[in-house]
Amino acid sequence: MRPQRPDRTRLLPWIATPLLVAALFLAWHMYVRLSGISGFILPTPAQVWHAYTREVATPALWKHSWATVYETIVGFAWATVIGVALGTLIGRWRWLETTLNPLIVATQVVPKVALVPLFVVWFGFGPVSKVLLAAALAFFPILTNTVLGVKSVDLGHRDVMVALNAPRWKTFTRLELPSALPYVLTGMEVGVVLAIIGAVVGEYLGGNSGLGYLLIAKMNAYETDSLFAVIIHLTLIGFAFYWLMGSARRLLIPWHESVLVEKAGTP
Amino acid sequence: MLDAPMSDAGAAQAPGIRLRDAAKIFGERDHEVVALAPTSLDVRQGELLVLLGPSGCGKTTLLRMIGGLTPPSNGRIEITGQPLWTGERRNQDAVRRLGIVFQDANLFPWLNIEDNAALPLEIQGVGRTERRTRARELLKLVGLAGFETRRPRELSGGMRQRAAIARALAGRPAILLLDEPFGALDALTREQMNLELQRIWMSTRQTVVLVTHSIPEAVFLADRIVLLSPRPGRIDTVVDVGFARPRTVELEASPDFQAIVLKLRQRLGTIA
Repeated sequence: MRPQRPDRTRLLPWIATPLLVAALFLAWHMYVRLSGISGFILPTPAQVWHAYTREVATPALWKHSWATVYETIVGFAWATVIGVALGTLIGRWRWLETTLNPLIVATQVVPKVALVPLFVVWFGFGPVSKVLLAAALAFFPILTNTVLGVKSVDLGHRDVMVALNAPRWKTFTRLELPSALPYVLTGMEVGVVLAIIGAVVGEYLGGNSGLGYLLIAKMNAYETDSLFAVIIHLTLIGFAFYWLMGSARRLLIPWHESVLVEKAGTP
Repeated sequence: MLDAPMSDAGAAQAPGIRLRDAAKIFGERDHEVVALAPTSLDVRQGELLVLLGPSGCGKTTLLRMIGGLTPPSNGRIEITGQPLWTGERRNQDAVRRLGIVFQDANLFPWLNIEDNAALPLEIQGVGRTERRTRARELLKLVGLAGFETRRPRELSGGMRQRAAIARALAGRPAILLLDEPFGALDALTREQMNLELQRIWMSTRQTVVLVTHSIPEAVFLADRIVLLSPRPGRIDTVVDVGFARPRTVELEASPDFQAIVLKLRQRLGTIA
């Protein structure tokens, strides 16, 4: 009966997950109907769906979506560039790690959301302050994973490069970079989700664009069904980013265990 | 199309490898551990020399020193007449004459077999077409024709080690160093790999230094066996093995073969 196993596990998410979601929606619907709770507090799934189709038809939602996506991408890009560059240096030079570590820990302990008012004072209500918050949140996981990746280069692989008398640059591009890539991508997967959070939280606190701003606007207008619709929209955007990172993983490191296991279908 | 090892006129008469009082001491002043006592040894060009010994006898340390991976604490190492170390600095010309095969194949999982085999050429800046031709030729030599585009993970342990040998040969080294290359393989594969190694060596006739702790493997492969004893590591006995080549599996069953095995085993029993 062994050969059947992979098939069953492969089919499982396609059957069980929709069933579970359907059950949750049903429970939600029943609760609203039976408790008589006001639509301003909790709309039914059907009402949320109507609100969502209504919102999607308006250009405003797309304008705000673009603002959030833009801030996320730019912030994430900066976090990646600086995180990977700094992480590579820290991973290579111990003295740099010892020197910078207290500073890095300090910047992590500061609740970065608390910096938003400061960013607004410095950079105004435009996209810059949001980009900065997105970058600040995404930066740390990318940095720490890059450091870990550079440090985790297999010693046997290093011996090969030393025995081949490989110059520093070749050792970096042919060994350290590909070795660290799975770690870097893991950091980026965590980082991209944090970048969205950064952008949305930044929008809560200042300016007049982005889905975070739209959420606050819907709240103030007591349009709870639309509020739910925007949350769903944000979730879909989050999924899209996460999926993109997963695709990057499959494309860039098809040789890595994490991708091979996924392909095989069984853990 | 198999090429002669790199050799220049001046170096032709020099031994492949020359060690003069080469020693290795690990640790700080008060906690010094002598891994290898001052050791002198000449490895002739074209010779297949086996370093045999129990664990802790410094055979891997000795090989890593010859391979330029660990600097000696004292003494001198020459590769075809050129000093390998100047203080802590390696002589690049000497390093280029060496090819090393490790106990683990150490193939890069992100490269296919062909690119792994061609890695030394890639680092030397050899062009793509030439790399490919050379890698294919080498993979054919080690019996991996048809596996060029596979990734290391798709290959068995023995095949991975074959690819590692191909990689070590890619830079046309005059000297091939093997550190327990088949130590992680099962007995059957190991026997087959010994035959393969002999075949490859007979077609390249390089200077080879192989580290092992298997007595039959040593007797089967070696022109000369250097038996090392532990604590501190030093040369105990040197044994010449004169069997004609190619040696066969049948040879291993012969009384002459068994006599050398027994002699070495008895000697190992007293020193280990």
